[in-house]
Amino acid sequence: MKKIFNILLIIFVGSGFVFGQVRVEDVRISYRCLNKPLPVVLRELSKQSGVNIVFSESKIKSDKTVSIGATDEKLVDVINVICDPFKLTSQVIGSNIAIVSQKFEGLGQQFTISGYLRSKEDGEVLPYAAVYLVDRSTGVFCNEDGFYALKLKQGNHTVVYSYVGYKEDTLQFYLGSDTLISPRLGCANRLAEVIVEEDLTRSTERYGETYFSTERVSNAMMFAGEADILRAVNSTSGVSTASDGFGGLSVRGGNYDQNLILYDGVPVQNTGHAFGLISIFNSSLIQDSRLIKGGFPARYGGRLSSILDIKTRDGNTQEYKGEISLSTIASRALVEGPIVKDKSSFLFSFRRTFADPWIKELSRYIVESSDGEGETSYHFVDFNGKLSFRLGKRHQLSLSYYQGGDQLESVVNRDKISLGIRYNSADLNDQQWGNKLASLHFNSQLSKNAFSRLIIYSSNWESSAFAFDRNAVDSMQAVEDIYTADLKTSDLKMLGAKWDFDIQINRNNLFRIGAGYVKNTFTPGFLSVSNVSNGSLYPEVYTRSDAFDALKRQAYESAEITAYAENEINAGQNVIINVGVHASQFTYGGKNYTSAQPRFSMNINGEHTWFNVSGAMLRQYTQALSDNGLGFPSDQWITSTQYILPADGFNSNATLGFMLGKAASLSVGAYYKTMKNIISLGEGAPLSIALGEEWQKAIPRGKGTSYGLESTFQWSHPNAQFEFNATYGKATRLFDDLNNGVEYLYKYDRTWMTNTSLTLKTGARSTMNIFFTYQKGSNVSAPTGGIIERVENGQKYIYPIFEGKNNFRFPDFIRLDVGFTFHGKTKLGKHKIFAGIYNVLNRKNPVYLDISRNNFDLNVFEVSKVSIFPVLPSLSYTLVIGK
Amino acid sequence: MMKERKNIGQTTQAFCKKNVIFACSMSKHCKFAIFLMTLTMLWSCSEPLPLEINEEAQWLLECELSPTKRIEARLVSLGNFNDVESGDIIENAIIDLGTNTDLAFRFQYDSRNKIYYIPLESYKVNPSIPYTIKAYRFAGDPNPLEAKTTIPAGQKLVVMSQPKATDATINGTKRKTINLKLALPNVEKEQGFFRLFAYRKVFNKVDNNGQIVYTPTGKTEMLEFGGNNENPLAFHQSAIDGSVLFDVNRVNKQNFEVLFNTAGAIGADDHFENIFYTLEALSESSYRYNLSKSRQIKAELYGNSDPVINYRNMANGYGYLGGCYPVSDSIAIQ
Repeated sequence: MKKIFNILLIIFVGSGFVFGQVRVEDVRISYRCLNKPLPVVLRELSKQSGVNIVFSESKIKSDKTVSIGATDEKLVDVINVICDPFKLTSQVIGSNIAIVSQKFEGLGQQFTISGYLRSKEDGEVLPYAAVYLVDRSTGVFCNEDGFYALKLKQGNHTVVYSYVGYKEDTLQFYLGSDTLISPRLGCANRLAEVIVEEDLTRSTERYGETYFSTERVSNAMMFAGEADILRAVNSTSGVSTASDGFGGLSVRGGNYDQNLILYDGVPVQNTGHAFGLISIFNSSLIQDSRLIKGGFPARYGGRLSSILDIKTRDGNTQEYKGEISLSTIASRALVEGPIVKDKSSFLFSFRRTFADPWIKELSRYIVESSDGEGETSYHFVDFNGKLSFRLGKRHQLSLSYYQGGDQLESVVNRDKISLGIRYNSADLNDQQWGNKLASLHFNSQLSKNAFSRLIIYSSNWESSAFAFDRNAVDSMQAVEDIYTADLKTSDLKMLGAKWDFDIQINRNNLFRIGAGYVKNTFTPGFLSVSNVSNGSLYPEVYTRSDAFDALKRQAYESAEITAYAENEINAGQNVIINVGVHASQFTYGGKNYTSAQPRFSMNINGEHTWFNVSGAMLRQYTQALSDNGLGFPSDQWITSTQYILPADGFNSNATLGFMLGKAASLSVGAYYKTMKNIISLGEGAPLSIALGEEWQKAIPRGKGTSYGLESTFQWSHPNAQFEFNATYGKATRLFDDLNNGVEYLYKYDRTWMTNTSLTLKTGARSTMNIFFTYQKGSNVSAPTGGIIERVENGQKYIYPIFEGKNNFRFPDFIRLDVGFTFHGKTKLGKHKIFAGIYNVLNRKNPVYLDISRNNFDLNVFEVSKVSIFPVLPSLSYTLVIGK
Repeated sequence: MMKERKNIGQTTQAFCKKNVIFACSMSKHCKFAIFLMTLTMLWSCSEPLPLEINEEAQWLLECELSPTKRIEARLVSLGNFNDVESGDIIENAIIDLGTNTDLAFRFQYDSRNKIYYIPLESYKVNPSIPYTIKAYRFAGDPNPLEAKTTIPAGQKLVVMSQPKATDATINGTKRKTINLKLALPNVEKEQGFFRLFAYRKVFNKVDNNGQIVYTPTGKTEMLEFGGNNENPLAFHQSAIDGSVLFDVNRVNKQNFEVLFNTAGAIGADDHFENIFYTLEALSESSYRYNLSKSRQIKAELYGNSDPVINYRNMANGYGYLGGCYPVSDSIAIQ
């Protein structure tokens, strides 16, 4: 009866009175009373303020009286204070205030606000933007396509839309039905506010994820003047690379192939130009990225260590824009604009190294200075294209294409005469690698609270590495002229489709389901020939095309079907639980592998503290066979087969965070993970790949464990941003066929890693970036002595003794980078100049250990640590044409 | 004479021309700045690695115990890996062998063969008994090289199929090949390590009044293992002594396949009667040490591959003490 009364009351009030031009919520009042009955007070307030206050006197049964003293307070707040002891509250309805039961408020009808959040400047959707009530009692994040759905009770609400780098937008409205709201956020003035303030209280780190906004990537230290998402990722806790960004990322002691890297939802295998120094991801195109190291939601699968989800932006739907950039190592150009204003857009970008003529000249100089002749030529190129179409208010179609590749050719000849003996050597390395990615995306808001996403994609990876090594000795006694030629190729083609369906069931449950299918074809290739092997006759010079003619390759096909269900539960005002299961079936020939991987994560968010804990079972069907774990393009990407079992893992994680005042936060976390059926190349010799499947039996299979502690401190100020993170960890591997079956430290077992970054606003148009990293050195296998094992014709042959795998730790890795960014604006457009010094301390951090026999004395082993970059100045200039 | 060969690093005129055109189109200052930056950027720095090798050279002791062989031990000092003259054979060490509680037997030194030994008649080792070896650098050495092992029981191959030799072309030459299905059903799980040698007798073809007969020449020929380059049997780990090392626990020990090939090209009238084999049951230390040593010696190209890790069960030094029990037999071939 009481409920019916309240409903009638609201209908009555809502349909009746009109109150002037001043919003009821803004009405302020000064009022004092002592021990007066509530009805009397409400009437006096109504009279004094001129706002119609509707209530039922019969429902106020308490004998309590009201005493209050308010000076220039909001009327609504005053009413709520005096009504609270009576278990009543106020609701603003139109220009009236209704006094209703607090119970009634909880039983009101719920409606959904939903829509897309976009940028006001270019119409771009804003993924993972925050949408929440102003009192922060509830809220959601947009999905990766900028879609959100928030269920709220009927009534007045103040909703905040927030996105890093954009001005917050606050909307006040009365919600009486399901409503489509697609606001556009204005961009913060990036010239004046170069430093973007992150709201630490809503930091996504709280949810076990690390977000990389465009600003965060561009504020991260650049290498050779190129902003790079993978370098930004590498500066976070628990992430390492071999050195100087070489190779792939090792996340929390995992292999580099255990990271699922999605580029607009399309999996990418090898992400590096220049052996990983520069990622293939053009920073001008990246809208938003996030790294998940633990607490894997069920919608992701296929890798054991991390997810890096990179989303590119759409073209500008409002105006034509262009961007050109020149840096020390590459130049790039970008054009974008509307096809039909507000409805469709295009975006094309092109990037290429332009230093190749200098690389040739310099390499020639270096080789000649060491009594040789030859040169190195290298270049990379990539192209991105994207067409986006808005189909009405609820649907969007986009087509994306990426093609990029690298080409490296190095030739070195040496001729030397010593004691009447002529030595001649010739080395040729010819490597080419690249990706082609194509995808079609169709996003659709199916209803007020349901969203669907369909992706059809292909991802092709191709690489080839040809090496020719010739050594000749011409003496009075004999002539030896021996060469070896090796060709390694790796192709992995993926053709697949994924469908995701998100539905906001109610205010507390966001349910997601999805399914996917992918067909994999991997084609490995290996050829090694020598002009003395098997007595066969080979040509005088064995060329790349000779090797390709002789190479026998076989394509191996497999298919994977995936499905998932995931529910994100608001289990209380401050508790979010995500539970789900990711299932997969993998088919290779007649062999089937099935898996159900439960996932769980829980986040507790207090005002000043937060805590998250997660656990996930994971399975990986695609792995890389790496020569050295560095993640070079010559690695073989292969899928599970009859003999290569899927890798399984368990990943757990717990993090506790604290706000230290309003501007600083500290989080401390621990992780533990196990891996089994991971693969590696054997010791001593390259994998001999042949036709058939027997060669797969020779691939060592083993286990891995890693655990550690991570800590991150962040401090944010309008003029500065500081971050320090530290990781203490251990990572081990155990393979029956490696290290004689004894457990050993993983290559990237760094023990200690710290990264410190500071971004400082040095003027109205300039910032300074400082980045410092300290890490324990990586582990390598080094010889501890030599032994004579063979004597032929009086010649002793010595062999090195290796006492253990990864028995030697490189010196500590230390690097300090400093950079300055200057912004300007002219009639032509916006200008940005970056000048930086990479490795200011000129620290020669080793990347790998080179062990080889001396070309001219095969009995001498040369062992050297190789560092790549000394102090390195860099410069880049970017011009953005358009508003 | 060394042949004239094409200089594959030769610079082409087209390259130079293109380069000059590119360079001329840039201002002097710009060229200089870019050149400096590129020069700095691309300078690859390679340094000798300061490896910490003990001042006192490490010793390496190898000894494999077998009930049917004279016990021998090889003792050398490790040299620097890049100095062939730095390692040497140790001649004046004290090496004792015995059971765990009684190191009763001291090795003698054979200066001619540069090897330590215990005469077969003076000490015989047996399976299933734990043995210990110690090598002292000097009398009273508190940290002698020390290792333990147990000799496994001998095993005999069980032939599961009718063996038949067929002609096959392997790596370009015509050979005889036999695919044998074998079993080792009585092997304990912890004793699954073996070394297998196989050979055949060489025959002369004789025309005896129109009847062709084959008479033994008295020579033998070792057989190869593992099929051909395109179909290697993965569990085969060919050793440098021509044997194959394998762990039977990695295959179905009730029925596994081994391919035997004649080593060289054969004629049309090649005759093959028996496979003679010696199957040595090995301790795990023998298996792992010899496997890693064989791989190490065969792995000439290090390149990007991770190097082979040498096995050792020797404390205070390198090397191993292993056990070996050989059993010889023959298999008739059709």
